[in-house]
Amino acid sequence: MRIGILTGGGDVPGLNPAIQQVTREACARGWDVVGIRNGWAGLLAINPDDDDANASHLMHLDRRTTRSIGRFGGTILHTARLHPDTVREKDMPAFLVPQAKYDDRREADMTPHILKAIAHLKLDALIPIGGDGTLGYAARLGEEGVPILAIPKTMDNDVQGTDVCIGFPTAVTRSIRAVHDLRGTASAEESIGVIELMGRHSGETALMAGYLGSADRTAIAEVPVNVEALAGLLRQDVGTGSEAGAVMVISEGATLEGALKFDDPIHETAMTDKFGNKRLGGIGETLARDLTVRLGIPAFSLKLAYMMRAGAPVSQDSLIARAFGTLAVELIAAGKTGRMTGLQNGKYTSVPISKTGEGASQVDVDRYYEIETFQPRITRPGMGQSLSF
Amino acid sequence: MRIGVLTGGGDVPGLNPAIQAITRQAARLGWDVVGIKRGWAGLLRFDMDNPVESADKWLMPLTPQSVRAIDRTGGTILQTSRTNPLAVPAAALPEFLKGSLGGDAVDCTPHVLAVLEHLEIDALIPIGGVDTLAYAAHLKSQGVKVNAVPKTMDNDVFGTDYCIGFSTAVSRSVDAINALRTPTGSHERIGVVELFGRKSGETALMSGYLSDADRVLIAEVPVDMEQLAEKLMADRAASPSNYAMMVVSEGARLKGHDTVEYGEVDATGHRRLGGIGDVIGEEFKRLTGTGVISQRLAYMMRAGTPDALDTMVARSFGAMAVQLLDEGKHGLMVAIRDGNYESVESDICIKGQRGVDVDAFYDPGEYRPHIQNMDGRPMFFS
Repeated sequence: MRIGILTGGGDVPGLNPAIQQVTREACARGWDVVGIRNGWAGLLAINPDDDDANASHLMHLDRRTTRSIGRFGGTILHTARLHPDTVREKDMPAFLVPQAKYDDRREADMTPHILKAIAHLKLDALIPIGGDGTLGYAARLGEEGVPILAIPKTMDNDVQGTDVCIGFPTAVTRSIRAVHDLRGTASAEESIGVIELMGRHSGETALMAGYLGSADRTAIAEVPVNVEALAGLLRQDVGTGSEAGAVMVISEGATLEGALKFDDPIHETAMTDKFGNKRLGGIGETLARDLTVRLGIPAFSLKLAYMMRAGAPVSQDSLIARAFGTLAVELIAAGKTGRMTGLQNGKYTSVPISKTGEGASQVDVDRYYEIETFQPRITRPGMGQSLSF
Repeated sequence: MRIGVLTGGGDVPGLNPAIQAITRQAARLGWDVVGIKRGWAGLLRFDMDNPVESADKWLMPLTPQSVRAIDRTGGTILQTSRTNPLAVPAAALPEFLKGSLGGDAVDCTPHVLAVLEHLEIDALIPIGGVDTLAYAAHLKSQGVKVNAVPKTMDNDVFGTDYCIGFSTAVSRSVDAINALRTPTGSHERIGVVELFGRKSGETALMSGYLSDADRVLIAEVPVDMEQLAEKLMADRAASPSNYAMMVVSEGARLKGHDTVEYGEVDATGHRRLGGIGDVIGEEFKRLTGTGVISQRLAYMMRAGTPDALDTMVARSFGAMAVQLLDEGKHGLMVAIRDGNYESVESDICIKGQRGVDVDAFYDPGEYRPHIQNMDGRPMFFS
């Protein structure tokens, strides 16, 4: 038995413990483990006619080579956001140029090559670790007959089919800390601190960090922000309590309604990464600028951004990462592929991989958010719920 | 409605978020909340003939405004003690109770009941470990409305799979174990990290598992020193940096020996555990001639702010205790069972001892966690 493993999308703390656990469980069964570097881009680069060149895209994994990786954030396999069913010309490896057929969007579906690469590497099963982008393509490969066992990771916690993804607990822990720490600054300057959190189009990171960090107000991606109403509430927040000053969190994917127009707008959503995916970010600064002018109270913004996923995982993330890694190998050993590991109703389980292709999950606004007060609505925490976020 | 809140036993990160959640949930219902200081001692030492001075010393009115910022810090604003009103040593009786109650270990429950009535407290929410909650169960048997909240970084309260403080203790331990790799590796020794956990090996098991320690000694399994020394020497030889890391429960012991304890017996009848790491380290040095770096993590496991999970569980537990009272349900302990929030009878905590399920999660021959068969297990496995 020979399995492949890769990590795709943004890095999160917990990927290395997951890789280590998969490797150990597989080695304990006498299997070979092939690490594929740079996510799906690594597989795309595998040239069946040039094994010397292929070596730079592969990493042999065993107990010795993964010995100490569980202590660190990031991923030893590196990562990429490339999707082999929509490869642009500039991302196409040179040896594939002659066979690439582009559609009218100038993108090529290279899945036939990926299947060849998997066969060339003699992989009996593949463990992709990623968010909905990476796992969406994993579902496609599943349909093509590749035995897949996926592991969900994303600090945004937006993968369908699991209550928790690797990376979310660390992201929330770091965000809470930022809310607490910036209170000192906001209070000292009697100002409003606006913390912008990564989370793409899901408000879950903001909702949880706002709830657990007791932020004064929380703006999520799912609900357009009525700036005038929010400003009125923040004016009250600044004036109350022994500490003057207020702190709010906002999802990077939030939108503003009725915001002031500036001649030199700073909010720029048109940034893209090198694979053409749109990047979010900057809305916190736009809001802070608006609040400063509108209220006459100084407001400042902080993009927590990569600090949410930098460094070593909190214990809950390494716990879930290891549990998912063990479960993935156990499921493959039992012949149950085409699935994704997950946590549901407080228990480890697995779901069909096709679930992950249904797009990102979002906050259930009716249940968990109060639009008028810009606050999480978690009025009856506990009873009837499970121990997950 | 007027409810009392107190914290007993050792402090853990998460107590303040729990106190805050209780206060906010109660205020939402229009109830009064009074904080009782220093655990059961606050009720024991309240002098009804001196109510103004006593209230000043032992009570703290709690409002959403007064608890506004407490969740940002560890510890407990109410302070804590290990006082057990069921057996107060005669010498420790408050002046005003001396003479009225006799014996060496005095049951002061009648006084506690009188104080609760005097303060017009309709229900009590004690937050604590086994010892604190055992007295809560006793009060329940005396007709007091009690809903208990379990906390202990040892995670050893019977009846719940999770207690406030455990996750932070494990996070801190994993960080410390990994940090101690640098001095241990530089000196090519064996690192011995002793963890709090009392008679349960759960903190050591989980921290050792997540930090990938070479060997983990738990309170539940006595250790054969020669066998262990051999394994550690092999671990050290196998490491490219020529060192090995071991985690030891404070409640661990060598085969044929007792646990290592020190100091005086406290109010709940315990002496302090601690020192087994040093004992094993010395023994290892004697057997092998190889040096050790021995570190007791102790209070660092519960110092500072809670991690996200402990903040969340603390808030859920606190709010649930109030919600249950509102539904007319009391005599309960809030809990997590099989991955879900639940409530159980409050006296369940005295009906058993929680510890590591050795058959399911530990390999006694290898002194290592053995964690398999993941499908269907709850987040913390048991």
